[in-house]
Amino acid sequence: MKQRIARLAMVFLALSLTVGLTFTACGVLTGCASNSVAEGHDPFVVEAEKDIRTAFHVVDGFLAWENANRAVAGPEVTAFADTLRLTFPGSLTSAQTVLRAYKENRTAEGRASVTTWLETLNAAMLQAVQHLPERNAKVAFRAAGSPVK
Amino acid sequence: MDPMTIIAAVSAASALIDQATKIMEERRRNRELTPEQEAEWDRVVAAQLAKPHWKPSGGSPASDHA
Repeated sequence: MKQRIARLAMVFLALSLTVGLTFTACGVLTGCASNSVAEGHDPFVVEAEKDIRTAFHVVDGFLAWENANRAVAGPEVTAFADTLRLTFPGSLTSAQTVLRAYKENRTAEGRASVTTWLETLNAAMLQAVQHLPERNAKVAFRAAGSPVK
Repeated sequence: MDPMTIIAAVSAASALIDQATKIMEERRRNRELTPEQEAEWDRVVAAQLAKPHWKPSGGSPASDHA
């Protein structure tokens, strides 16, 4: 009886380890979890949509910080913030427009347009971060769901 | 094999399965936005853009051109 229980336990253990290792291997061999996408979905589009969200949240956070700390931020930071207020919404709309057009018709030209607008948004985001105090920059990236740079 | 070893091994196997499940869930979450999600995102952006911190400060050259 004891031998039977031990044998059953061994079989269960072997099965559990096999299943666990197989699942983990699937996740590892098919790419890091944070970079892999669901089947049938374009990694370029998934990353582009994430980049757009990140850029918006970081710039939004910067502008909120500047608005709340205008007295200490300095005229140069406020002037830059006002430039962003003027230009970023248009850049965001353009990036989203070209990306949604690309999702409808996936051409090399469309992909290049998306990349160009993403570079614009990312440049604005990085400039915003440079104008933030370091601890606020980390908070902004965390709020945007991105790894802290 | 003594019971403690079996328990430790089963715990390790469970931890592996949990980790693998999280990896698979993460993969399922990484997908293109649906039209409904795009619309929801548009609403989020519009709501944020309407907030005071997106209004020009009123004292910089950029705002003078607005």
